[in-house]
This record gives sequence, structure tokens and C-alpha cells, in this order.
Amino acid sequence: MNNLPWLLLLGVVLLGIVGQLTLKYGLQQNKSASLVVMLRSWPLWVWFVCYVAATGLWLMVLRELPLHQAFPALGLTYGLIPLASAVVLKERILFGQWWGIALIITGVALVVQS
Amino acid sequence: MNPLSRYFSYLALFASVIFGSAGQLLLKWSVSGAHSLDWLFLLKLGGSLAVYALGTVNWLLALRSLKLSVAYPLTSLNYVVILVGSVFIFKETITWWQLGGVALIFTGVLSIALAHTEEKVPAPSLGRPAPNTGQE
Repeated sequence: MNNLPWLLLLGVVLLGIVGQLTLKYGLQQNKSASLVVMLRSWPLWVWFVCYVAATGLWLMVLRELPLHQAFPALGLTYGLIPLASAVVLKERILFGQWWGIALIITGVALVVQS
Repeated sequence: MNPLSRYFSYLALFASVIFGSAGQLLLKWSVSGAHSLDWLFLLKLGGSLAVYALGTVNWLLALRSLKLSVAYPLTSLNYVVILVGSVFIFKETITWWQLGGVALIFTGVLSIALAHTEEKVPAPSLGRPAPNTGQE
């Protein structure tokens, strides 16, 4: 198994997490900001750069990996975002979320097996 | 919300799943055979991204009137549509372990989405009393 596409896929997941967390952080800072103020805040731009980079990486991943493995593995983002939000944004993880996180991580471990 | 507008919101929600999944399948098709950055490739890529964008637009239309706790769990249907597409359109061979993995991921995403439902709206649509989960 060639590992590079899998590393790129991990990159897509990490960029997704960093982007979403930064965006949420930025929107929390100034809740009633106008569009102009938002466009001048750094978190929005970090999110945008992450978004564009993740899309580019995703296209490279899709070229190499079967879709039935790559797309479900991308679901790791859904599993890791609650964990990252708990650590960085001090959000609480609900019971149903722990359950979901465990299921997603197990599922991804199975789906990446060739 | 009047019945017609509710009907259109659900229509938009399903359209967002269909266009979103179709966009991913088309993206895969665009990049699979591509070896150079020619016009044909860019045309395919642009078309696929446009279909994907239609999914996003429909998602926003649906979210205008539907609760996130109703709309979000349905996005896990993407896994089902894309799995069916990978097997029947791209003829990818899938092992039982991988199928089990996708089922776990689908259930996991659904659990995370429904965990929020429990906290915010105590499942009135299911016609049973809200369970006391001991959280909050």
C-alpha cells in the first residue's frame, strides 16, 4: 500500500478541523460583527485558506484512492472535531457524542484496510 | 411554518444530499482518468464543483427553516449514496470489513448528530415522551 495518499487524506482531516475550530473561535469573538468586520478578521482567512488547501488535497486523494475508502475515512473529521472543541474551545462532550466518536474511529480503522 | 414551505424545505434537504453525493462521484470521475491539465479536465472539474455547489445552496435553503437537529442527521445519507455509487458506477470492490467500517462511521456520524438533538429538542416528533437523560 502506497502511504502518501493516506497521509494527504490525514492532511484533509486536520485542515478541516483547524479550519472549523478557527472559524468558530472567530465568530465567538465578535458575535454581532458586520460582514466588513468579519472579512477583516484573521480567523475567517485562516478558515478560507484551510478550506481551499483541503479541497486541493482532496482532489489529489481522490485520484489515488478508491472512493468507497476515501469518503468514509473523511468522516474522521466529524469524530475529531468534538474532541478538539473540548480541548481548545472548552466545549462539553455529550454522552451520545463519545459513543459516536468511538464508532467513527473504529469504522475508519476498518475501512482503510485493503 | 406553512405546509408548502415545509415541503420545499424537505425537498431542498434531499436535493442537498443528492447534489452533494453526485458532486463527489463526479469529482472522482473527473480526477480518475486525468493526466494533464487540459481543457476537458478543467471542464469536468468545474462541472463537478458546480453540482457540488448546488448541494451546498440547497443545504442553506433547507437550514433557513428546518432545525439543524433535523437536517444534520440526514447528511449521513451521503455515505449510503456514495457507497452505492462507488460499487455500481466505479466498480470498486469492497470487502465485508470495509462495509462494516462504513456502517460504523454512518452510525457514528448519526449518533453525534442525534446527541445534539437530545440536548436541544427532546424528540417531540417521535410521539413519545422525552427521556430524562440526566444531562442538563
